[in-house]
Amino acid sequence: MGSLLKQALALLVGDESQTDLFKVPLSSNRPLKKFTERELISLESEIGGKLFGKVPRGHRREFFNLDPKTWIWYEEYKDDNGKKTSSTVRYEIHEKGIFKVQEGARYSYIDGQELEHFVLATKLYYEEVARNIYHIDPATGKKLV
Amino acid sequence: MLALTGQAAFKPGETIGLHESELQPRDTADLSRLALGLAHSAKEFNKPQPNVFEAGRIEQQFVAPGQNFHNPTTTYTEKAVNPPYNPAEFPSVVGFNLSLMRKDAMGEVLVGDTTKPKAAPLGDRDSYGLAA
Repeated sequence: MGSLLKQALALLVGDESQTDLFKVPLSSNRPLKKFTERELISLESEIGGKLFGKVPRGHRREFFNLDPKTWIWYEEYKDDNGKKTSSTVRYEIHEKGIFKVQEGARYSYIDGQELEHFVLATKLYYEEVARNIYHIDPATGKKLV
Repeated sequence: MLALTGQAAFKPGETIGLHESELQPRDTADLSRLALGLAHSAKEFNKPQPNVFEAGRIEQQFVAPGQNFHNPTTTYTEKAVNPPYNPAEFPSVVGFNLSLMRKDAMGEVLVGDTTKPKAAPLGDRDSYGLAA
């Protein structure tokens, strides 16, 4: 606490030792509270990008849940000519299915193997993220001891 | 809606509308060609086609009312999609849970969760257990 603030509190309270009473108690079971949502998503994405096997050298892959209805796949790499290439795919959760939105105005509901892989990937993502970032049992939602 | 490609618009196991007698081949070679043709059609039908607007699949795709990405001069309406998944089973539930976990990790109190400490307004000493 800055000395100026201490002095001000000492003037108000009278006894500097009692300034501790004004500290908001930190909750010991929330070690991640310092992170913003964006930072938490970045942490999740580090796990998400590895769900699909080894990322090829020179590639950067991200896969994360943006909000309850949206999942993002992002892949970045350099092509044979050394030109940086990237692609983003957005998967939207609709009542009728998983709607895939790609660059170049390509839209589709996914099905078959792609749908199976997507569902599996999101379940794995949830399992891994719940356990390794939030330390929560994915099945029960309770804190892991 | 008619198939836009000229591709045979039948599914495996579906009657194609020909009488059995019409399918009688004249010789073994015809029979082989017919079998090969049918097998090829079935294979093509089942082949994954990542480009949704590829021929033969446009009927299965969602096109917003009033829009058509294949042929701007024609208007298609929204059509049901093949059995995607059971919406009650998963993904939105997973996404919902993840959002809740993030909010909790950021220090917010979950609605209805009485096990978490509640934020107290500044100056409310009772909330910090400091009441005399």
